[in-house]
Amino acid sequence: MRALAAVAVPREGLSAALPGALSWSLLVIAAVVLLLVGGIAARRAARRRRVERVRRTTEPLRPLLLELVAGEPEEQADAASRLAALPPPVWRSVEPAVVALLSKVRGDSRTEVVRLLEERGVLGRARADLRRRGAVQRARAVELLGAAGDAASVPALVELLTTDRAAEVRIVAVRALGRIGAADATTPLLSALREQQGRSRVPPQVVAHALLRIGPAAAGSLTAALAEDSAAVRATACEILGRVGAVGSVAAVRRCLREDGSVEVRARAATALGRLGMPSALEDLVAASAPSAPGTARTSAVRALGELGDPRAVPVLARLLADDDGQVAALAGPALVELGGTGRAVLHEAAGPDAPGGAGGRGQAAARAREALAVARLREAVPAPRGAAPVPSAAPVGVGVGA
Amino acid sequence: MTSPSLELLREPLAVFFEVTQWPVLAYFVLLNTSYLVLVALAAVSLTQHLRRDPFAGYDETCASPLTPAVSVLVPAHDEEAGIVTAVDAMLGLRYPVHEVVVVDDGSRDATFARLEEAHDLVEVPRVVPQDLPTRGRVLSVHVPRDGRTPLVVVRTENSGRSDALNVGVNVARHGIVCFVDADSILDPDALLTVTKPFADDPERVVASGGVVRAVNGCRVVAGRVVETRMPRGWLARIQVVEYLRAFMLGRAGWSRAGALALISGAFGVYRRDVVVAVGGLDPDCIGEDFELCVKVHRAMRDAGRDYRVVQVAEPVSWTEVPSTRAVLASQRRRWHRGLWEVLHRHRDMLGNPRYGRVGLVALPYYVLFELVAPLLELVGVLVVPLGLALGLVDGGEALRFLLIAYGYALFVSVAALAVEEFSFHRYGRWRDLGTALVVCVLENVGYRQLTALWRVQGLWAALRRTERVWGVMTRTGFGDAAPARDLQAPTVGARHADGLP
Repeated sequence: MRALAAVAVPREGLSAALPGALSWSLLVIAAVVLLLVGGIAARRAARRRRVERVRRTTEPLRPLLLELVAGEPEEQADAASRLAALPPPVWRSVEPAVVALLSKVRGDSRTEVVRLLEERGVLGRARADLRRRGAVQRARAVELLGAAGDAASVPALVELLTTDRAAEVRIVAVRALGRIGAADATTPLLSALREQQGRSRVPPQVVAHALLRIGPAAAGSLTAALAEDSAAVRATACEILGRVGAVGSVAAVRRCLREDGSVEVRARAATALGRLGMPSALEDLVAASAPSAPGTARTSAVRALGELGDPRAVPVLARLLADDDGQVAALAGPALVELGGTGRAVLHEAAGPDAPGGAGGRGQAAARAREALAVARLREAVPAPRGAAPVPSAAPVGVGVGA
Repeated sequence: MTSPSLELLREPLAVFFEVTQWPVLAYFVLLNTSYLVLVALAAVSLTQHLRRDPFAGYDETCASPLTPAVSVLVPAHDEEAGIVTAVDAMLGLRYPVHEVVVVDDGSRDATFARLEEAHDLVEVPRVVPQDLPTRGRVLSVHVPRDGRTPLVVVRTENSGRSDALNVGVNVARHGIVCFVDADSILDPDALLTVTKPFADDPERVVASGGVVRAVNGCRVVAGRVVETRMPRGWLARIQVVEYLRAFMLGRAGWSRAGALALISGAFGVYRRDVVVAVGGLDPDCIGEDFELCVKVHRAMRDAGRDYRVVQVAEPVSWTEVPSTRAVLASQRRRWHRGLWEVLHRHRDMLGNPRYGRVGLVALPYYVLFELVAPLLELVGVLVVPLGLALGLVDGGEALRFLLIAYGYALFVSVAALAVEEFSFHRYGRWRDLGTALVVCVLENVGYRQLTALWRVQGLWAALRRTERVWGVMTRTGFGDAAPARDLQAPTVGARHADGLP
C-alpha cells in the first residue's frame, strides 16, 4: 500500500497542488519519531536514576523495617521512633515499603506499622484525600485506609460507597469496609447491590467477600435482607449466611428455597442449606432437586443433599443418577459418596456386579456411579496434605458469586 | 529510452495512475488516521490501567473463596518437549480455584507418556458431556493418582486444535474457560489479571483476552519468563515489535473503543455457557479464534444482550514466534486465509448497525486495512518502478512519498515502543532498546513486502479453496533439565493451528 501510495503523486497531479507539503510532512514525521525516541531514552534514564536513588536510600533502612515488623516489642518501638524521625525526603523513599508491609504482617507488628503511618501523617492525608476530585486519588486513599484497618474512616467509606460516581471508588470502598470488618456497614453493603438500570452498583462477588470478612457479626442484617426486593441482595445474603454458619437463619433460608421468585436466589439458598447442615432442610432440598424445579436450583440442591449428610437422601440421589439433566446426574454420584456407606452401596449396585474393576453395568446411571466411585477411591487412597485446597465439585458451575 | 514492451504499458499505466491517485491517497490518509486513533485510544487505556493497578485488588481476589473458578484448556499435539513444564506452570498459577484440562489430540510422540510419568496419571471412567459436538472420539480420561491435583488429561483421536478445545470445553467443570496453547508461557498472575473483568462486571463481560508477547530470546526458568530479552535473529526480533504493536496499540485501542473483534487463541478467556451457546470453535475454520470471537459478538447482539468483550492491557502470555522464513511464511498465509474465511462467513455483519461498533467499524476495518492492504502493497511494489521507468511518476516526489509512508509506519512502531517503555518496560537492557529501534526501521525493508506477498498467497489460496493446511508442530520445549535457558533455538514447525497474533 505504501509503495502504491507513491503513485498518487504523478508529475502533473497532486505534486503541483501540494508544493512542499511532502517535504514538510516528512520533516514532521522525522521530528515526531526523534522526539519519541528521545522521550523513551529520557524516561528509561530517569527511571533508572530513580530506582537507584530509592535503593541507595532504603537499603540502609532495611534492618530498621525488619525490626519494626519482626523485632521484640522494645526493638519495634525503637525502630518506629527512628523511622518516624526520618527527614521527609528519606521518608518519601521508604514510605511505599512501609505501606506495603500492611498486607504482609498481622497482630502487633501491623499495629506498629499503622501507628507509624499515623504519626507520619500518611493516614491523615489519605482521610483528606477521600474528598479529592480525582477518582484515582480517592480510590488510592480508600485502599490505604482499608489496608490499615482504619475504623475511624468507616462513615466516610460508607458515604463513598453510597454516593461516589466512580465505580472503581465504590468497589475499593467495599473491599476496604470488608478488611476493616465494619459490621455497621453490612446494610449499606447489601444496599449497594440493589439493581439500578438493571445492574448492581458494585459487583456482587466483591460485596460478598467483604461480608464474608465481616463474618457472623453480619448475620442479623443478612437474615433481614432475605426479605429485600432485590434478587441480588437476597442471593448474596443467602450465600454469606451459609458460609458464615448462621444456623439461626435456616428457617428464612428455607423459605427462600421454597418460595423465592428468583432461580438464582433459590440456588444460593440450596447451597447455603447444604453448608449449614441442618437436617430440617432435607425436605426442601429434596423438593428443589425434583425434575420440575429449575436447573440451577436443582444442581445446587443435589450438591447440598450430599453436604447435608442425611442418609434419607440416598433414594432420591440414586434416582438422579439417571437424570436427563447431565449436570444433575453428574452431581448425584459425588453426593452419594458424601453420604457414606449407604450411598456407596447404592453406587456399587448401580455400577454393576463388577463395579470395583470399573466395567459394570450399562447406561448413564452405571457410568456416573463408576465415575463417582473411581474418583472417591483415588481421593481416599492418598490423604490430603495439610492445608490442601478443597477439591472442586464434579459438575460445571456458574461464574457468579460463590461459583 | 524504454523498451517497446514497456512502452505498450505506458497508456494503461497512465490511466491507472489517473484513476487511482485520489482513492489511494484517501486510503493512505484513512489508514494512518486509524492508526493514530488506535494509538491515542491505547495510550488512554494503558494509562488508566496503570493508574488503577495499585488498587486492583488482586490479592483480595486471590484470597477470596468466592472468586469464580476457571478451567484452563490446553490442546496438545506432539508437545512432548515442553508439555510437562507448561502444565506444571499452569497448575502453579496464582488463582484460588482452577483446573488444567489437557486434551492430547492424537499425539504421535510421547506427550501423554511424559504427563503420565510426571503426574502419576490413572485412567478414570469419566463421563464426558456432549455440550458441544465433537469429531475426535474421546479415548480415555486420566487424572493424577493423588485425586487432588486439579489436572485432567483427555486422550482423543487427532481432530485438530479447535475440536480438541471443544472437547476441553465439554470436560471443563468451571464456569469460565481459558484457552491456552501448550507452548504458551503464562505469567504467575495471568489468570487473576485476565479474569478481573469478569469479577468487576460479571453481568456483562463474556470474554477477555490478555496481551501475548514473543518469548524468543527470553530467559525462562521452570516455565516462567524471568528475564525479557530481544532474540538474536532478526526475523524473531521484528516479530517482537510486531506483537508489541498489535497488542499494545491494536487490541488495547479496539478494546477501549468497545469494538474488540479478536481475542488471541494463545490466551483467551470466555464464559463457558457462552462458548457452548455459540457452538464452540469451528473445526473447519482456519481462523477459529477470530471466528469464535465474532460469533460471540453476533450471538450477543442477536439476543439483544448488554455485553462486553475486553482486552486486558497487562502482558500475561508468552509464545514462541517463528524464527525461520518458511515457518513464518506458512503462518502468515494461514492467518490471512483465516481472516478471509471469517470475514466472508460473517459478511452480513459488515456495516450492519445491528452489530454495533463491531459490525460498523471493526470488521470493515479488517476488510479495508488488513485484508486488502497487502494486495495494495504488492501492486504498489510492482507498478511504481514501472511508473518511474516510463516517466509517469516523478522520482523525487515518489521517493519523498515513500519515505513519508514508511516514516509513518516507523512512527507507529516507535509509538508502540514508547507505550511499552512508559508502561511495563519489560525490556530493561539498553541494548534491547537499541535493537528494537533498529528493527522498527529494518522491518520496512524487505520484511513488510515479504509478509505482504505471503498474505496475498493466503488470500489466493482461500479464494481458490485449496485444501486447508494447519502445519506441523515440532517444539523444542522450554528446558526443564537446565536451570535456565535462552530460547534461541529455531522453531522447526508451526503451531498446528493458530489465530491471528
